[in-house]
Amino acid sequence: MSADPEALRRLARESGKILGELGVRPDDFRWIREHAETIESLTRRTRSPGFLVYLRRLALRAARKAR
Amino acid sequence: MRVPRVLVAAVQSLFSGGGAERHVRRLTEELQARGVEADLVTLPLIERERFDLVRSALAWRSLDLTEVGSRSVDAVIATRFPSYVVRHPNKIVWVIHQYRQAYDQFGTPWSDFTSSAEDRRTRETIAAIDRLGLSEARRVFANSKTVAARLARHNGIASEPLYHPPPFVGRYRTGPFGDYALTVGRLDGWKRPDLPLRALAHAPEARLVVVGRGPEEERLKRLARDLDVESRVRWIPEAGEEALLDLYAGARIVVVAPQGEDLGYVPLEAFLSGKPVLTTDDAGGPLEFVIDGETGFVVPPRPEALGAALSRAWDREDALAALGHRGRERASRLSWDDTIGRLLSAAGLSLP
Repeated sequence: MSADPEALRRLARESGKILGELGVRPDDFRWIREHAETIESLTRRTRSPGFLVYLRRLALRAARKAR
Repeated sequence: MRVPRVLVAAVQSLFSGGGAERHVRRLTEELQARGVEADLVTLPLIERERFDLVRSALAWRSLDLTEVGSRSVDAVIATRFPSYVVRHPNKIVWVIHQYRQAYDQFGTPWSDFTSSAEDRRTRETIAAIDRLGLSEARRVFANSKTVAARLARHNGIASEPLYHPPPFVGRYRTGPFGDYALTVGRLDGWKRPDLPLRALAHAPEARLVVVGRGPEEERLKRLARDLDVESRVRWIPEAGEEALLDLYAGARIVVVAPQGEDLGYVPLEAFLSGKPVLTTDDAGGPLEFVIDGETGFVVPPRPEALGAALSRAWDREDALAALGHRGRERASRLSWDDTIGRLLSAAGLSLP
């Protein structure tokens, strides 16, 4: 069973916002990628690589807004 | 009167437990003993890579403890980094440990942070996490003046020192002055466990009991052999509670060697056992209780200085009793009633 994509999108947005509050900056690329990978690990392995990029973008946007 | 509901937030050290773990358990129990509905919330701090520190803060920040089981929580008392970023509108922080490797220990052998770009960003982020968690708290306490001074220096945060009794308060006992100096604590480099051993080489009449284990254990045993003091040292890697109380009660003097300790229970435990403390003038928290010539001896952190003080302790048993007695008076003033009262009052709560 795989996590609901909408739940993952929400998680990426909310946690990205928290990362921004905690001082993570949009140019901390590696940390944001690792974070998106953690969220992505909740999905089936068969999910398209594009989904990881999408999650990363959501987290990044949320972190930028939170600053 | 309604029973207050309070959560204590703390970081859990997995497969090991030191003073901080005992402290938060005791705090929760002391709240419960006074009729407060209290519970302990813990998350581990895993540190495989730098980002794990941020992950851990993220985990805490993702927790909103305003309401649990459809009932509101009146206050959260958060303690160690990064538990104090937990969400609650009535948050009190009692700082027990900051992430010292990023602050005062940076640039010393006790911090593994380098000047790399990632380490610099990690240190900046730790400071941002501290700023967030501490600045939104209703009140910030520190477990000693030493920790309060660090918070002011490194984070610009004002806090009030709030002491508490050591873990086995009510069970410490006095006893005759024995033939050994006692040192208690984890055998970690920054605790300087080699210093009491080196001091023995300058005090031929003294004996030493070392309670604790840690990464330095084997190196210290080799050092004792090299210094030719091995026959005067007894190693006790793990002492049960009663055995530890007996060791305090039978010691001649208690040696506290760490540099820049936050608070340190050992001096308070020694005093409640009627024993004076030998420490160094860079000890940090212990110096808030150990006063040279009044409750113990404070010397420069050099083996020969500690050795000379040990020799004095072996010569002058009558003086030891007076020092230990004054220490006991001082440590006896600390009470959980006072500590809990101040924490609850800061949260706008009172005992039921």
